[in-house]
Amino acid sequence: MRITGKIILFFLSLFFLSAIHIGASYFLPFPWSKINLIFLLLVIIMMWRDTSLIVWVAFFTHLIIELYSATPFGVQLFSSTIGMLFTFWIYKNLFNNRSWYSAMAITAFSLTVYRLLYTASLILLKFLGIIVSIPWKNAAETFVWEILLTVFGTGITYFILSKFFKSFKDSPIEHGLFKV
Amino acid sequence: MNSKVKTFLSITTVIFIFICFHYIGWLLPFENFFYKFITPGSQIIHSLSIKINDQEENFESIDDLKTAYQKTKKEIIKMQVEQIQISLLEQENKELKKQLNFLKEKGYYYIGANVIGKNIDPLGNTIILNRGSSDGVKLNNAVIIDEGIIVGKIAKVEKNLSVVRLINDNQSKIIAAITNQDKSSGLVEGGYGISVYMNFIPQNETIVIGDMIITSGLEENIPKGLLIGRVEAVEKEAFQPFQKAIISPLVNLEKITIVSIIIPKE
Repeated sequence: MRITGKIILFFLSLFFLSAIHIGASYFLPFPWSKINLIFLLLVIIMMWRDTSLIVWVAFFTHLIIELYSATPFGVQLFSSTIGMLFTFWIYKNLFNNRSWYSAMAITAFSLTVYRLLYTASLILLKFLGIIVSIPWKNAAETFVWEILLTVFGTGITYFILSKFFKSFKDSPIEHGLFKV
Repeated sequence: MNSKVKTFLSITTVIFIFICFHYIGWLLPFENFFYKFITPGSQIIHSLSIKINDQEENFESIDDLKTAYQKTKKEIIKMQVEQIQISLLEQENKELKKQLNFLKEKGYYYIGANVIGKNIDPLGNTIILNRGSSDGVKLNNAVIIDEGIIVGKIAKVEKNLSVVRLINDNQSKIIAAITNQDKSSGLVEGGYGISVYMNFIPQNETIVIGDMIITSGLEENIPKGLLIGRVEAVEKEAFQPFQKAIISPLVNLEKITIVSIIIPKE
């Protein structure tokens, strides 16, 4: 029963994450529409629950997003899942405390890896002749806004949560590589 | 082998398997399940976002309001002048409408579709329709609104939905013709979602601002005579073999809710 509940909760969170991300991009005006709410929430959840499950949440959420994308199937799925995997490793092995500024740094790293892998996949697809051209200017502008807004959004969200919930208070990560 | 390398390889393998399953079609039941759940919600959100974003303009300061007022005044004068030209344009419009009877003549038929969403990735300007291969939609079918205004071409088809690449997408290419004396032809391309322009127009041909751009009919699935836009400016350099026309689309491509897809007969 407990496991069934967890599975239902998992799938509901997938729907919620996808809906909130798509909704934000429809409703908000530019450049606010470029905020990546999936990564924002996944980083917060990762720092709150300390769980690797976020890699699979990223996988399934982007599987849904992929169905509504014009890019060839797999580009977003690959780049987001691997991006989140690297993020989890960095969080586990490098960061030594939970705070709003470490949340910002993790988000910045996470989105940079995600978009680098995304761009690399596009270059590969262009090389293979699957896509005709890459709108570099447009993509770069989107990535910059996405990273800026999501990083600040994560920092503000974490800061607000830390004022109300004990589990978000500044605390050390035991397994961090660099101890202070 | 390092455990991290193993994890990386395992996840990459899972992703690769899912990509393969998608292209083989084994993911279809799963994809249809999500489409069934998300499509109605997405359509509501999209329609709602258009309504909300279509609200009245807000001004941040009195200066902004003054500027807008002066601009509106100038526009009124301009419109009065334009009204004189309207009677002339009406005649031209009638002729253009006649061209639109191509559908019956050529044996094409439409299917209506609702726009259920727009793109959320930065690669292009696309919209999502609630019609797919099960309705007979195929790649590169023309998508029109109103009385034959082409807004894009089908770029991706799934069973129950399809993605339209809008004419202002940077990867959009449509062979077109200008309704000028020379009947100039060229290639209409999108410019990063901001503009639409027509390239490869021979230097010696005369283009006048206001000339209409229509599809040339040289593409397999795009009938002749679909309206694309109006010439807004002409870029002509003496050392270039071709001239370029900047086109203003006839409709706001950001606020499309219902379209028709032209399905050629087999």
